[in-house]
Amino acid sequence: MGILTHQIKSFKLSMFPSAVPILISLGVIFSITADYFFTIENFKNILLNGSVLSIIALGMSVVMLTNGIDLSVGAIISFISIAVAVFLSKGLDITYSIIGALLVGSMVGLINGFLIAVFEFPPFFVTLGTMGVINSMALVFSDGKTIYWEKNWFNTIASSEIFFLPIPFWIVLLLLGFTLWFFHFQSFGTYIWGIGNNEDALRLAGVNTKIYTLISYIISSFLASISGIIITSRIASGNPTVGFGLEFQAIAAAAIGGISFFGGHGHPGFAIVSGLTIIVLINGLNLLGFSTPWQYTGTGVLLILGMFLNIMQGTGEI
Amino acid sequence: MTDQLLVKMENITKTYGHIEALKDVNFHLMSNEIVGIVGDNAAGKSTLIKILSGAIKHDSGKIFIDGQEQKFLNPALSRKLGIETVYQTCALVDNLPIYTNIFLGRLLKKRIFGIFPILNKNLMRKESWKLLHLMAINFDSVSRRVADLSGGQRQAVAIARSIFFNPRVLILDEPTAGLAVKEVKNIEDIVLNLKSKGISTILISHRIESIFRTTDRIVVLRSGTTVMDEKTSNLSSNIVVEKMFGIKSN
Repeated sequence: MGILTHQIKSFKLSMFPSAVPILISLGVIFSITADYFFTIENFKNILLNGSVLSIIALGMSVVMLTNGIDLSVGAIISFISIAVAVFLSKGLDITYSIIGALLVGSMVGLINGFLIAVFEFPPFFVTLGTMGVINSMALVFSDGKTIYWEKNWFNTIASSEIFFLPIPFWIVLLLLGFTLWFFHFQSFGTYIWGIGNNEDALRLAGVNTKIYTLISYIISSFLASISGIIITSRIASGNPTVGFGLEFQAIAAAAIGGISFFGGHGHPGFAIVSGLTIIVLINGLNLLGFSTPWQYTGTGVLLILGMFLNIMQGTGEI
Repeated sequence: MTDQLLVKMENITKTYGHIEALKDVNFHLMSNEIVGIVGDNAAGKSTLIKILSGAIKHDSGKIFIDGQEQKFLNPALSRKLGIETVYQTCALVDNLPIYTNIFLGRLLKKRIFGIFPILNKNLMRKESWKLLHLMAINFDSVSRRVADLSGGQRQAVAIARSIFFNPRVLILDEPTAGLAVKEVKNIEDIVLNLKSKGISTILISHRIESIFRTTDRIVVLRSGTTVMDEKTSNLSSNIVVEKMFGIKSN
């Protein structure tokens, strides 16, 4: 029997992490209970917000696969929001502003990765530290205020559409393509999965695991920077606290997307689905009149439920 | 066939803080030879072979491979020189399939459209299957995760990985630890089979009977020093045990 035939015949819904059945269930529930949920405009809204979270969750998933964590992603989003706003307000070309912001964001990942991979500091404390530093820098450079610029095409990045789908969603699809390419057709994915499971084995096999760990943190911060740019475009301003709490949502999305907290298990591609799942929950609760604190509660409950279901299905491990 | 000197380690010393793991240890390996290294826990056996495999650096002493001094051994260089190591833990990645583990660190690639390199999974599966079959190891699929294998099967995969690239020296660190009797016999047969194919083996084991069944020469380490280096045929298990623990048996 060929490999592909074998895979098709052994297909089961339980092969997918809990984000999939939860997304379907929430979609059905909110379609029935929440007015306006089942509308094209709302779906576009979900796709737009979901894309932002999916992108951050994708980066978080890659890091978590190496048995790490990146608590600085929310802070990076805030800092990038200020950075790109400052660039634009000073009249810098939009393309250079975007490139500059991506480079700045990636530098944070480089620092995180260097401290974690080379000096072997614990990821939790390193990224907690950079989170604090970057959050402060965002407030310092903005003086705690929102920054505006003269309106230009940057403001339309988040709201523009291609074939009726928001540009950020196309960015997500592009990133999904890259993810599948690097995780299934390149050694990168093999080694990222391997590091999370048995880094010593890879090292003894002659693999430079430090480089791969370093790259994973650069990817996380680079993707957080992309999300920061999208958010900044959407709100047409630089806000020093816009990323607050997004690291929590990213971790929740990665977890219900099947990524193990101990590394080595799960597929980062499911971050796309799990990001949408969380945003559907928040969107639905919002439409039903639940305030922001209740939305956080819902996300926490979803995280616990999602992990429980993953463990029961065997698609995730603690 | 004239036996040649493959490996020579002279006056090897290694310390960890205040602990002298190895003190002026001398070791050599000839072609077509299986050498057993035995000793109590913390005798320095694993440290010695990790130095030879390039996993750790020695503090002083010299290492010669094929007569050439090697000053900067690392795992990749060691493999390039034809030395392969199977560690006690097998050093396998549980969540990856058998064929990926066999090619770990040396994943095979092909080019699509003649330009873009991608993993050649079909070739890795095929070569893994052939190799395991050659070693008389039967798996229903090489796409199974290593986590689903028994202890003996895991050892077999680890050994298969080591011999795929035609090493001249194979180092086995406790290959039979925790295995059932039948699986131990299988591993011993594999080791003897490899000798017939021209692969010299350094075997570390606590199973003295295994050592006597498979090796040509036995080296005993005790507290980081070499206390005996003798042909197996000249020894008995009592003598070996005495040397290992520094006691006289009745």
